[in-house]
Amino acid sequence: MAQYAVQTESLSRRYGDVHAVQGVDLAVPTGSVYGFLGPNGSGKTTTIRLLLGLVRPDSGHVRLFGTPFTPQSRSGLLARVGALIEEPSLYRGLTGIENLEATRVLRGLPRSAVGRSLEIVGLAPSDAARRVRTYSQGMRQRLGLALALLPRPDLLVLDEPANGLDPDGLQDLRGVLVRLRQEGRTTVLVSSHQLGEVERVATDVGVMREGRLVRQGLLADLLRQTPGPVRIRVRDPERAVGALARCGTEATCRGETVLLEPPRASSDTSLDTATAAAVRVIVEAGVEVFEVKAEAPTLESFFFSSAEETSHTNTRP
Amino acid sequence: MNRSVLTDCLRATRSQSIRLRGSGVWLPTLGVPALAAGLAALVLWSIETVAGEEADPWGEVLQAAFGLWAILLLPLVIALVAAQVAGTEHSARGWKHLFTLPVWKGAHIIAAWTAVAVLTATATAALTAGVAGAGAAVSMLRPEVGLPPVPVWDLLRAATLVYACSLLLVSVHLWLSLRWPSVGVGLGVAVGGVLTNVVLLNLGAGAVTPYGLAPMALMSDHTGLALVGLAGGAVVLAGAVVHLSRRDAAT
Repeated sequence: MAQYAVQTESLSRRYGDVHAVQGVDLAVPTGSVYGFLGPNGSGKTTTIRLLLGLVRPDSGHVRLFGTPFTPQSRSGLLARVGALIEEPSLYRGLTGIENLEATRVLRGLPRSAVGRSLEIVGLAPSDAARRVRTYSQGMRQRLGLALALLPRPDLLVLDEPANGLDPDGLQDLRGVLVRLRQEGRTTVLVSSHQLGEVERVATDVGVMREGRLVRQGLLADLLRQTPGPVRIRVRDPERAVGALARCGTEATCRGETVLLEPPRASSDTSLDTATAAAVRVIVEAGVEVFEVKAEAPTLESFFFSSAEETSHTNTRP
Repeated sequence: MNRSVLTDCLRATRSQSIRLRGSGVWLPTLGVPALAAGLAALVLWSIETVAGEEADPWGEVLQAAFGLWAILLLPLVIALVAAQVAGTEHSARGWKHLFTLPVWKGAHIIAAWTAVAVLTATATAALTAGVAGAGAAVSMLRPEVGLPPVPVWDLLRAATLVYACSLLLVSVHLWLSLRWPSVGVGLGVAVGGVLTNVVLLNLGAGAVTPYGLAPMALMSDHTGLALVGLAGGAVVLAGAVVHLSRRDAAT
């Protein structure tokens, strides 16, 4: 089995003068749930389209399961891949089952694949028998996921699968991804803006900015390297925040505490130095300090700490 | 042909037939030939009596119904059907899904072409059946007219000739409709092609454009034009497969 389900080498693609993707070296370990993060327009969707052969790279290479993606290997590789790219491609005049049938026939899968796929995403047979035009956004997204899961893929690629989902839909999606992670036979590459959701299911993450992959690695390792916010319990939080603001330190009031954001990755100041300086400012402002506590870093704090990074950082060996 | 390519084409065609369910593609396929068949019925009904050996009522009917079909209605039916078949994918943003499946990309284009070609054949068959049915009905309801029996072979020959010629138009309009999601592009080209062809026919220019093949074949009974339609259709389809398979799937 290949070490990486997806691997790219200096992948680049331009649209006119815009470098949508520049020199991306993606490495998605086999069996992982890889959270592919980045703001809008950072190149996530273009990268995903390049991985699946929907657009051709200007330069660079894609390997799926250790095999180079070429016109000759394309069909064999895609037989092991299920994909849901942005909004699901659904035929609104057809029922859910007919939509699945149209893809099942194309993939040459047995009839049982349809029922199994519906069961995984939790779409009831009575709902699957209805026309898609009567579906809610959540049901359409669920049917799109069922289409992607139809071949029992070794690699599942999901581009913004949480778009338009309500809390119940998000929970269901999370359940499917956790189940796939536990089964361990499917590698999942999921791009999303929902950092909290990604943090709950991902084992690995990569961050795209302005067409470049700026951070990539095991989520646990990346979070260990990321300072979390510092919570300072004080007598008068608003006065403390005001004093900090006058010194140019960003902080917010959270109940009885002051929340001090960690310094940017590009800053020369360490978290310890910044915390000590903040406590000094608060005490000098005449506000009593009761407790200083470093919070555990979150994917959100990691994401924003990497905001100013432009060079590639890879924690993999 | 490579076995996997053939398998892909068969699977894609089967899948295409599922995807077209409920798409309303039967409306132009059966509605437009019904118009032409209705015209034939009117012509037949208006005949008072068939007098003399020189009289050729069926010749007039075939000229009226198939002439109207070949010059005007057939291009419009093909443009509408091709737009609907392609529109099924455009409106479902289906290309980005279809092109991530382990199927040769060209198979989807060939499947769409097969669908349009079969629907065009169905429309032509509906016209043929409608004209024959109109003749049979007039013979039964108004025996005093003395209408000769339905010239089945002449009807079939005209239908086959027109259909073979139409395959070039099928390829041209499918290519246009797959490339541009707007129905207006295909219909605009069809209307422009029909008008240009009418002018060219009046000038005696013959089958200069693809729109002139079927009318010229019908008027001159020239089977060579049918071969041009078949071969031209195959060449244009091959061009569409190469072009559309290599394009980025943006939607």
